[in-house]
Order: sequence, then C-alpha cells, then structure tokens
Amino acid sequence: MERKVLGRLFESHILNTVKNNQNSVLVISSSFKSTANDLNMILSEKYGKIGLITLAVPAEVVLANLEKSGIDPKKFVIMECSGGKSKSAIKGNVIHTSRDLDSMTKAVDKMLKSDVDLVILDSISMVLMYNEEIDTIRFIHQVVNSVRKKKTKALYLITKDDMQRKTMKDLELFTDAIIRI
Amino acid sequence: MAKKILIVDDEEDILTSIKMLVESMGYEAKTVSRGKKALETLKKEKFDLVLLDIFMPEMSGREVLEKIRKDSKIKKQKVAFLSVAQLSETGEDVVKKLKPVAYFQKPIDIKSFKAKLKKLVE
Repeated sequence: MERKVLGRLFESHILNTVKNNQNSVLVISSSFKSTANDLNMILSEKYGKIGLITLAVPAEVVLANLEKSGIDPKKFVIMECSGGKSKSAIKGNVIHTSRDLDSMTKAVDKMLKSDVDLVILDSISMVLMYNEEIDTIRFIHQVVNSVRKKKTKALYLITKDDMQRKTMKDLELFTDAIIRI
Repeated sequence: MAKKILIVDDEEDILTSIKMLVESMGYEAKTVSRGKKALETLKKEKFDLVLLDIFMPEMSGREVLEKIRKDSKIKKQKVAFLSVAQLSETGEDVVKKLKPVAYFQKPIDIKSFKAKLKKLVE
C-alpha cells in the first residue's frame, strides 16, 4: 500500500533515530493520522514485533488497517486503551485496558513481557486528553524507564501543539531523542 | 545561626519527610509545593540551599531554575535537584547548563544524602 505522508528523507531520519536511541519522541506537525499509519508500515518492515499502544483507534480497526496495508497483524501486539474501568485482559495479540494511568502502566509491563522489539505510543497527545499534564509526564517517564530496563525501544508520538505545552518540554530530560517532522 | 534550606516539591509526604530529615541535621527547613511560590519566597528570604523537584504542576523544577538563573537578584542561589527523574544523556546536558550544585535521585539513600547535603551547606 502506498505511503501517504512521509517522504523518503523523513523515513530514513525516523528509522535512524529510532535505531540509534532507546526512547525517541516524534513530534508531528500535520496529518497526524496518516503519519501514524505510515509509521506502522515503515517500522514493521524493520522490527520483528511491535507493541502498539492505541488510545483513539479500536484494536480491531488497527488490525484491519494493518491487513489492508499488507502488514501481517501477527507482528503487532496491540494495547487498546478504552474508556470505563475494565480490568486489563489479553485476547490473542490484543491487551485491553482502561485509560487510567495505573491500568495503562500495568498493561505496558504486560506488553513488554511479550518481548516486543519496539513500542509505539499513539499518542502522548491522547494521554493528555484524559489526564493532567503532570500525571502524563510522570506516566511517560515510567514507561521510558520500563523500556530501558527491558532493553527494548520506544517511539512516542505527539502533536506539535501539545509539544509546545510547558510541561512537555521536560520530555527531553529523560528521553534520548526528539524528532520533528 | 542555623543554615536555611528551602524544599520545593508538590508531594506532601515528600515535603514532610525531607523536612524532618533536614531538621534532624540541625538545619532550618521551609517547604513550598509550587515553583511560583518558591520564586516568590527566594526573593523575600535568603537560603543556603534549595532542594528542587523536577516534575511539578504549573511550573516544573527545570523552569524554576531557569528563572532563578535569569534573575539578577537570585541568580547565584545554590540549588540541588531532588527528583525521581532518571535523566537521559540529553537531559544531563540540559540540566548541567542550569548549574545545579547536585542531583539527588529519589528515592534517596539517607546516609549519602545527609553526607552530601552537609558538604553543600557548610
């Protein structure tokens, strides 16, 4: 399937940064949804198993989109964070969890136990929609540390507008790289 | 006269425990839970050291220290970070530029914290 937004230059910039760093933040200035879809495509070509944390799009839609794009959905572990207070449960390669940060933290640990090569958080902006800025930054810090301990990698997506929030400036204190596209 | 330490942290239990620890060393401790309040306090009172958290609502510790360094009246204030944040290499470079006198990682080791604090204050 054709990539819609990312040019070759951006693709190689993102791939190199993710390759050389454990925890990278990707600041997306426009066409967020299409960029996120493109990322799934280019990163699935380079990494064996990807853990995708989705707050906005249901897991079944993500899986259908992957299939449509010619990507094997089995390469993905999807962490679906939805409203309500459901306890986290695993069905196939989908981990269901509520959007409260304690449940999400536990679900991230479950995801990391499945030996993913790369975690994609789609997105910090969505976490910010449901939580205070200070709680969001503490949550991301916790995920970054878990990713470090597990010696894997992660890419955190955020919109340009949200990256301009004062608290989000502190992301550069504990992540390894910030990519702006 | 007892040396004075300002402790800045948004978490009440941390403020209380660090205050008790600092006072047990014979120092005078004052606590505030917001960065803005810390800046106001520093402009009114002199402190031998500020222990500053990083992750705080409204104004992060990093921003507080940036403002301290830009303010001619308080720019030479001795400040040490006291934070749970595990800095990346990039983060260490950012923090170094703000010239903190120390970086204490939470949770602290009480013995080494006390020893280092004594060196910084006296």
